[in-house]
Amino acid sequence: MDNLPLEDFSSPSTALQSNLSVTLGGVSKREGNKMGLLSILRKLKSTPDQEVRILLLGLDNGGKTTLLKQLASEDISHITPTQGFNIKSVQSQGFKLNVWDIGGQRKIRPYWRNYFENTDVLIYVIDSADRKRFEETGQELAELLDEEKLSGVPVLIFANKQDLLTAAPASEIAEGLNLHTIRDRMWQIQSCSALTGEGIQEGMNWVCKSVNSKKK
Amino acid sequence: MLGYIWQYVYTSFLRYWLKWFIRQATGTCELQRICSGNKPGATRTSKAEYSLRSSKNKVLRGALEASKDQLEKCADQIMKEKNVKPQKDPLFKESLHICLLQITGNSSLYVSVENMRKEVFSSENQEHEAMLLKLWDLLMPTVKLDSRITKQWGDIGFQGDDPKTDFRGMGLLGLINLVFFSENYTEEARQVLSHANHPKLGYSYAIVGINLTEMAYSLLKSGELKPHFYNTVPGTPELRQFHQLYCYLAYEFDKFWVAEEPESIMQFNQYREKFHTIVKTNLQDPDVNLTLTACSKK
Repeated sequence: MDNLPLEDFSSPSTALQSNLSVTLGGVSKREGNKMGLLSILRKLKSTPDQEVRILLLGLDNGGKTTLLKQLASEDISHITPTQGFNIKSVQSQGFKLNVWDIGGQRKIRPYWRNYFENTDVLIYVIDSADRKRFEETGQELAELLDEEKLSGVPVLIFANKQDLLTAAPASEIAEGLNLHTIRDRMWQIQSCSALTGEGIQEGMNWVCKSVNSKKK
Repeated sequence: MLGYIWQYVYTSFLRYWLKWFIRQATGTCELQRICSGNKPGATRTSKAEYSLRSSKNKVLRGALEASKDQLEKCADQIMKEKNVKPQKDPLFKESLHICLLQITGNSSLYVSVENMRKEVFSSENQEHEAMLLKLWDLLMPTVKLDSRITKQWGDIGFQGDDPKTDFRGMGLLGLINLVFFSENYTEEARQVLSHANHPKLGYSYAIVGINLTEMAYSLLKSGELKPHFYNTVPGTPELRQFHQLYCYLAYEFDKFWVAEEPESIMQFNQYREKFHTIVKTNLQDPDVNLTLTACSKK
């Protein structure tokens, strides 16, 4: 007992507050007698947030890694093409978001399917200024939406690179991709610039909302 | 905690008293003892750098910020300040001068490298375009490019039809490193490319190369490369030496990858980290020398 750090009690974290009502019952039933209130509180504090698996896909040079680094508040000035994948965990709104950023070059797209399992939300990133590849990106997205392992998984489409003058607006992209025909899942298109960070928070709010509503 | 207190007491008081005492006893200043007691290279220059940096004397600290052509004068000033007679220690001035060139050279090299990195690859720039085509010819001497925008770029490990988007955060630095390797170590570069194009153990030659440029760049930026340059360049390191280091990384990474036999390219970042750790460990060795040892055509 003596070596319990004091700050555990003086400044309960937000995680503690939000999880208190949910977890208290479960712990006290099993271990409450032995542990005493303080250790229960301590245990509660370390109760991890709900983990969410997010898959970040899209063609190469769409901005997936920049987006990932923005989410993790890391430096985005030295990014190189992704060989393989990157993964980062980000805390947001009581969730622990495990974001998988998979390289987008044609050669490694066949590996995408290895990462489908247990995906909670799919984020599909499009370079809104690369009009020449709208068709290719649309095809890849359509194939993803047909995947059995991704059926019913909410999809957020980031119409990225809106900082470029030549970027197509999200509405035009939504129309081009026939997004309104999607009936089997929640979807959302969000214009953003991974470079400036604009629009990302809005998109991630939708992600958290869709995870919440899926749970219910 | 005790360690911190000791370190504070040592750097703020003890070190000076100790230095003063030894100086009285031996009649030589710390820099002289560093230069005469260590062989040229990382050990000597790192110690000299620490000594200059922690000096209370403005002349000594100022030498770390001086430009290259000022350094000889700085060495003279330091000798005057420290009362070192050239007749008594004839080798000292040259040793100190070299140390100063090496120490200040690291930051001036970083400035040049950073400028090169910041230059964005542009299809409108004929020099850039020529460099890109040269890279193709050096790596694929028997195959002609069908056009400037073509799937063939994939054969040397770019992602799509047009390599320009792959340079990204490394800018022209990534391309120049790739060209330098193919030009100065043509055999080795082609050998690495053939490994990269292996159907099972392969990886994307060009973008892995750009990734390794990032590794070289961050090692330079963090100062971790200093011992390597102190050991291999008796003066100011130039861009050429940075490109040489890239060649070492490209060649050694390939060797490492082939030996490890990763399951697939998706494991790249894991193995990159492993390789990165090995390089950083090597850089801890005071005798480190990261030079590509395969026979090179000069």
